Amino acid sequence: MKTFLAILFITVATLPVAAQSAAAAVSPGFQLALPGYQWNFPRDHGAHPHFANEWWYWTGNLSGAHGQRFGFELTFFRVSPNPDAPLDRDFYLAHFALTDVAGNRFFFHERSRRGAWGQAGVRMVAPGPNAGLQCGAHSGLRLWNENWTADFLSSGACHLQARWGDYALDLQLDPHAARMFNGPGGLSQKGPAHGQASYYYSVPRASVNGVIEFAGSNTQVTGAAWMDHEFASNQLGTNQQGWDWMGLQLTEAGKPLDVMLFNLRDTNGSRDPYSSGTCFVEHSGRSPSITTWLKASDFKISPFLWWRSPITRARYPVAWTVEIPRRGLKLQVRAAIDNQELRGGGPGLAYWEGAVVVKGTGPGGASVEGRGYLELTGYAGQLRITTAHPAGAH
Amino acid sequence: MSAREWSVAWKTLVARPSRNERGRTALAIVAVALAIAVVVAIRMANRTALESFEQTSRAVAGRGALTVHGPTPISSTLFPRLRWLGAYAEAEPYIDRYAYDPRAHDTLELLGLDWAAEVAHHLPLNRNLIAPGSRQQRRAAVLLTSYYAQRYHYRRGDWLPLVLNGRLVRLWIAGVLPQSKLATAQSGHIALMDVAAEAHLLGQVRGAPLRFDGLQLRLAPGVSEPWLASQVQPFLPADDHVEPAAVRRRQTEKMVSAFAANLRALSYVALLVGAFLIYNTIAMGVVRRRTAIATLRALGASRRAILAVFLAEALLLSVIGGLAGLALGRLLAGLALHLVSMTLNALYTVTHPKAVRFTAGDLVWALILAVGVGLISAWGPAREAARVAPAEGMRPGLYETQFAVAKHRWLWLGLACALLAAVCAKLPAIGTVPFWGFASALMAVLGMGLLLPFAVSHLLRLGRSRLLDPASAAAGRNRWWPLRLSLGLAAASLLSALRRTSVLLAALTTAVAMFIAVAIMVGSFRVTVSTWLGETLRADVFLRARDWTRSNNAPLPREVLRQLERLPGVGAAGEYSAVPETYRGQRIFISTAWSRDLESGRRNVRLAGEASGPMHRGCPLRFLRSAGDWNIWRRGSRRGEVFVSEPFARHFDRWPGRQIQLPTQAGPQKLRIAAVFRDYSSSQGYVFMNLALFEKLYGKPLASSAGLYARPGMTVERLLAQVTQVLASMPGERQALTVNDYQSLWREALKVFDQTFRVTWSLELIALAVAILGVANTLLAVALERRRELAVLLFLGATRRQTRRMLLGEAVWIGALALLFGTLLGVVLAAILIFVINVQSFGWTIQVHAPWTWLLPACLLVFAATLIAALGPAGVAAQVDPVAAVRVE
Repeated sequence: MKTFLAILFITVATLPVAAQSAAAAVSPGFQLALPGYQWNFPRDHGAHPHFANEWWYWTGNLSGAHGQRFGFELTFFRVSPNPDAPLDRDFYLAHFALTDVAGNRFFFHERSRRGAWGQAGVRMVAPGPNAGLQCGAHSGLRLWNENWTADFLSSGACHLQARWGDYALDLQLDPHAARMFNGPGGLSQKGPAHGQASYYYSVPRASVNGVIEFAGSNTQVTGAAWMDHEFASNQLGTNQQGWDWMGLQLTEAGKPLDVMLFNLRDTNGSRDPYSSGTCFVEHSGRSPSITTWLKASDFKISPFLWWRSPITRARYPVAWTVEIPRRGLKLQVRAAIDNQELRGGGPGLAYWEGAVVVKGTGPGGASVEGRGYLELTGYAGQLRITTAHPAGAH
Repeated sequence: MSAREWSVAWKTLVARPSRNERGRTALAIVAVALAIAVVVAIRMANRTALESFEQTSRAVAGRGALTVHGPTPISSTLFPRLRWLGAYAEAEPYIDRYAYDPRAHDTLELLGLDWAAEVAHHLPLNRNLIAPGSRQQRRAAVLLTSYYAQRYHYRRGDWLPLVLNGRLVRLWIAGVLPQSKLATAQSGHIALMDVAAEAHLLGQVRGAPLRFDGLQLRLAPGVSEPWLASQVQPFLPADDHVEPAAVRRRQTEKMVSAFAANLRALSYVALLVGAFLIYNTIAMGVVRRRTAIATLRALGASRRAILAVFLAEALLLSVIGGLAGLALGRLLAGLALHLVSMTLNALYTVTHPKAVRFTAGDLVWALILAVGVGLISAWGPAREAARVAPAEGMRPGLYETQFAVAKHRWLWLGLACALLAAVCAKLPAIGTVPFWGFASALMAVLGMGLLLPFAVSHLLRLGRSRLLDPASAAAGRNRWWPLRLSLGLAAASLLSALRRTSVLLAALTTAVAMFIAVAIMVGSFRVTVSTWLGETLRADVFLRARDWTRSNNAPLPREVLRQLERLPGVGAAGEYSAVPETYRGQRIFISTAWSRDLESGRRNVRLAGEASGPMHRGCPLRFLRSAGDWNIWRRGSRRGEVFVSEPFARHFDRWPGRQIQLPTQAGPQKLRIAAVFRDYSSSQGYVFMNLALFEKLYGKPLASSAGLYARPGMTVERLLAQVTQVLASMPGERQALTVNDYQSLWREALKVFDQTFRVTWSLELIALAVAILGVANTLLAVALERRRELAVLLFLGATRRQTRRMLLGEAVWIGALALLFGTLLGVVLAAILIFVINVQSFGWTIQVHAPWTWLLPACLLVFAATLIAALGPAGVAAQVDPVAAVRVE
């Protein structure tokens, strides 16, 4: 949810329309996220141009045949900084990162493009004789930013491809993974005002099969990916300093349990009451999926280890204790490696996002463990929203 | 050599004499200082001018490792096909133009970058560029450098008027660029805006695919530049190129370097003159201290000590002179830079050099040059000093005759040099630097220096025998006799010191020759250009976009042109267009011109009233080898042939009958050259074709300049008044256009020409000043050295007036001989400059046209200056105390 960054960035940079005004203001021509949205898949995997901001992102923990561990991140953002100027209507930002846990190495690259010239975009490709020409071997929905692509195939599977120099990924994601909605009806409330919310769903656990290339060497990998898709026009009127987000894929007594938490930090250091989370138990056999929505008061998280970036001098809390009393969970979340800092877009806009390892106990002291991704924003100095621009977080 | 031996030798041979001859030592130092100052000033000015190119190319083009550019714009429709490129490089479109700021009267480089791509590239562009403001403001948002904003008092939120592509536009200053590499480009004369906004400002249609000047490619780590270039090339228009980013500006840099090399070569002339003078100073020191040397040798001083002492003297002179020269050079450099950058802007491209910077390299270079020249020129005399035998040296009066002048050997050496000069003149240039041309000039100078002893001794002997001829002396003791006598005695005296005379003459001759050569070259060039301008500028009123420069081919706004053509005073109109192209890796221009009779509407017609002129108005060109211009033009055009400018023909060695392959819109085309035309407006090549062919190959041209012809019976003044009146009603256009009548354009062109050669002139004048200082210095030495001889003359009944006149007589001989040989050498050097160096550097043929009308008076002035320089030494000669002078201690 570098969304926060991306949007902050774009709004500071380019968005004059909503400028200076109150949080409740919304750019003309955009819709607000309100209750009662009718979800429709696969259409809703695609773009929602009536909303100012939208992002898709994939993270995941992968293993090679010889036990090598990797983390990956591939994210696509769409922002409409200036809806009435055709050339500036759509702006696309993308991040690609790989973590080599054993080698303690981290790679990332950031890319940004206008949508107007076809360098980046989101498009439905109808199955047909020409589909192959336009979209590789696929037909369905494609997200792309230059050569980085995410294809939602007609089978329901997802295909991710990205390369920057000697770093690449080519991953097939399981078509049968379940969706989880973050908030009732997929509406994630971010503040008290009308429409101060986003539409937000996740595919928290998709099995992955594919290849990654790290510094020129290829590894066949398998693992689990987490996908988030969120869109909104004005979900946060913020005085936020930043937030901490985590998506954890746990095994509790042999059963999968997925947990998403985000903790909004206000500039005065307090925790925002609209921090929230989701617990999700995927359906198995006959038993249906169980989704539990968590309010700020339902969970506690606190850091206990910090790492200082040698480049930005930012101090990131890279290990956390998490308590969800309602579920009887007590967890320790630790970075797989310390340095997973992304420095994009300019000074003050660095953040940390990386693979984590989770250990803890469930109800009755049973062992719980797993993996996940952690995102930490607002630690690198000047990340500060001075005026109330629209900005977003999960 | 012991310390004591050294100190005694130093005191006797250098310290004491120098103290007694402070004036002479000072003159020698001043001469060295001037010579070094010239070299240092030119070096600094050149470096600063070139650095400004390098810095700009690093800051702008160097942002990406590769650039895609070419005559065909890159369309935004290309992007979807280049998505694969994202794996290896970030590609960002750019538009890079020059614009003219009519408020500040300055030029700006307006660089359009893709703000969206910049978001990920850490540029401050995104921060401010599309800052809060109205839609109109956002569309014209620009970032200025803090330098430019401060210099011209612009603030954030102000509107910035700019003439861009022939139109007045208003840009909105969204912010000031913080200090960054990019902000140092063009020394701060740069502004950034969004590439799409700039495209729209340039008149591209909103909603249609945009056209960019090129792409900047930032490569992923580990990706090979040549490999990626080869992968990208197939996707590009045929005539576009993928090149390392710096190459594009390097083309300009290369031309500018050639220009800088020429200046540097000229600056060394002053140094050469300086070298002659150091040689002379030391040589005379040796002569005058022969007795002292001999005494020291008799007292046991070694040859090495004598050698070392004289070399040390030279070293001291050069170091002091070098340091003084450095300081003076630093002062002159600012002026030189001003002149150099004016020339570069006029001839090549827009450049904004920053202030001259003094580096440790300059210090080292100045000292190396000064010491090197000092030691090399002192080596010969110092060795002679070391060879002085104790006995012979102590005999007074034997000095000069002891130096056997091997003038015949030198004669042969001199002839060999002359031969080498002739050979070098035939060798081709290395790139555009006429290395062999300079070598040829140097050989000619050396050759003349070596021939001088022989020639001078003959002339002086002839003069002496004629003037002092006993028969005629007895016969005609008329009122001219005193003059004849002093001239004759002076000749004899010079002859007895042939070596010293020859060296002094060599210095003065070289300076005079260079002066005359440059005068002939520049004078010829000026007449040639002036004639050519007269023949090619045929219209009465000329129009041009204010932001037009050689490297920024801004078109004239068409509707304004049409409106002006409809004026009642206009009988016909001509338009001219040139587009940049690349031919064999070099920038050239494809140009065309057309004229219309506004009544009949017919194109390229012979216009009324033209037949009487030397040139048909319908034919826009002057051809190299023929007068029948109109027919060559018509015949070539009918056959679909092209015409190339003389610099093009020479540079690429393409002459009539040959084919050239040009990139065109329809792919590469082979075109035959019909003729070569004269073009002094640019040393870059031009290919000219008629309108029909141009339209076929490159599409409809946009006029970059236009000429209006007055209707018969209409005066130019009235036509100009009409044009000015129309423009006054259009304030935007008035600021965007430059309007000239024939006279003022002609004057402006010649002004640019004169500016170009101002540096050259300054250099030659300084060399001449150095040489004349040398004359003063030498004659002063003569006066001091011959005190004993003069004293004897006084005892024999000569008056002080006569001794004084004798010394002036030497100055007359020196001045006259220097002018004689200087003119001879000057003509040779002028020929080398005109026919070798100029042709090789710029590709221009110049009609020889020596400016004797002012060159003769100038020569007389040099002669007078020599005499004036001799006045001081003559005064010294007149004040000799005969008793003291003949006393032998």
